[in-house]
Order: sequence, then structure tokens, then C-alpha cells
Amino acid sequence: MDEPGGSSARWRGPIGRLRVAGLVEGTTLVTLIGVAVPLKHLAGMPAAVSLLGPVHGLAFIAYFVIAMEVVGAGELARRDAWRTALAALVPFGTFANDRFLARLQAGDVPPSGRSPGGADA
Amino acid sequence: MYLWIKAAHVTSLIVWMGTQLCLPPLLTWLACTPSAVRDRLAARLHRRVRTVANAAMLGTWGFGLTLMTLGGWADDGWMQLKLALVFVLSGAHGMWSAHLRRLAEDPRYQPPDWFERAAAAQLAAVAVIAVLVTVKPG
Repeated sequence: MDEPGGSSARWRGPIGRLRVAGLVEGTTLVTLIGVAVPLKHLAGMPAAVSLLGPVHGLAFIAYFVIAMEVVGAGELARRDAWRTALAALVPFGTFANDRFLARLQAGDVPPSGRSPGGADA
Repeated sequence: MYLWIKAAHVTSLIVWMGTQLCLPPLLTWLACTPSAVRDRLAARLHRRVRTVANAAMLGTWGFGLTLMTLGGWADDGWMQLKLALVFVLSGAHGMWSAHLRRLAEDPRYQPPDWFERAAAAQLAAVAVIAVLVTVKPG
């Protein structure tokens, strides 16, 4: 891992949890679209979709809840929140967005979602 | 088996909503209390949300989706509206959790003005869900 503090640093804080949730969500989405759906339509094996569909659904919900937690914590600006939400809808989107979240977590991007006084932007 | 899953779904829902509906007024009230009390209570409440309420929310989703599959309601309009509302409530759960953490960590924290409106919207969403799941319109 290239992050300071080793691989466990990825898990720390709301952004760390969002990164992990994003990688799980992205992996289940890519597996669903790239493996399970072709198996169903080309090989007549719907079992993979039946199994992976609910798994991906729960991963998507978890990603959304954690994303809202990060927004509520004031660690994502509104534009970045939309970008993070939309990333979950596109295959490989959360993987691409992970680079941005890693920079945010490392402090290379200033958190801009929290306005002075504690109220939301 | 269906009734056991339904019982687990309702139990999870009561625990989740029992916590979630209390959070907006509690956050507003705690923000006005002395710092020593507020920090301790907010931290304790945040732990409860992250453990009990999180587990209850996951249980609500898991048991609820199982019931939907068993009942064959996935394509019904009322179920899709219900799913959308529960999705929004799940997002609100994450939002309240974050505000509780901020309350516990930031002595200058004040709840935003939209809290009261969000609390009312949340209550309305729960009422609509109750009607949808009871009447099953359409």
C-alpha cells in the first residue's frame, strides 16, 4: 500500500470507510455486469445474478449510508458528494473516485464541505 | 417461515426507527446543554447509533428484501416507492450519525436550521411507508 501508515490507514475515519465501501460496491457491480449477467443471458445460468444482485444491492446501500455520513461530517463539498454518488452508478466509477478520496484522506485536497460555525455548506 | 421473517423485519424496523426518530430533537437539545454532559451523552449516543441502530437498519433491509422476494412484490409500484423512501431514510441515518459525531467532537457545533424540516420529512416518510405496506395500493 502506498498510503502513510500502511494498509490499515485506508480503514480509518469516515473517508476510510467510504473508500472500503466503494471498493466493495465497485467490485460487486463489475462482477455482476461482467460475469453474472453474461452467464445469465449467454449461458442460461441465472443463479449468479440471483446471488450477486442482492449482494450488490446491500453493498450499494452501505456505500450510500457511509457517503451520507461523510457528507454530514462536512468532509465532502457538495460537488464532490455528487461525484462520489454518481461514481457508484458507473462500472469502475468507485475505483476512479478512490484516487480522489485517497488524496482527500491524505490531506492533499482541503475538506471544503464544512463551513465555519459547524453548519453545513 | 414467512411470519418469522416478518417478525424479525418489524423488530429491526422498530429498533432502527425508535433511534432514528429521536435523533433530530436529541441533537438539538444536546447542543444546548453544558459541554461536559453533552460530550459524554453525544459520544454514548453515537456508539449506540453505530452499533444497535446500524445492525437494526441492516436487519430491516435484509429481512425486508427477503419478504419482498417471498411475496413477489418487487415489480409493484407501492414497493418501489417504499424502497425509495427506505433508501432516503438510510441516507438520513448516515447523516444523523455524522452530526452526532460532530456534536461529540466539536464544542462549537450547532445543528443546522434544516433539522426540524428534516425531522418532519422523516416522520412523513415513515407514515407513508406504513400506509403503503398496509394498503398495498395498485
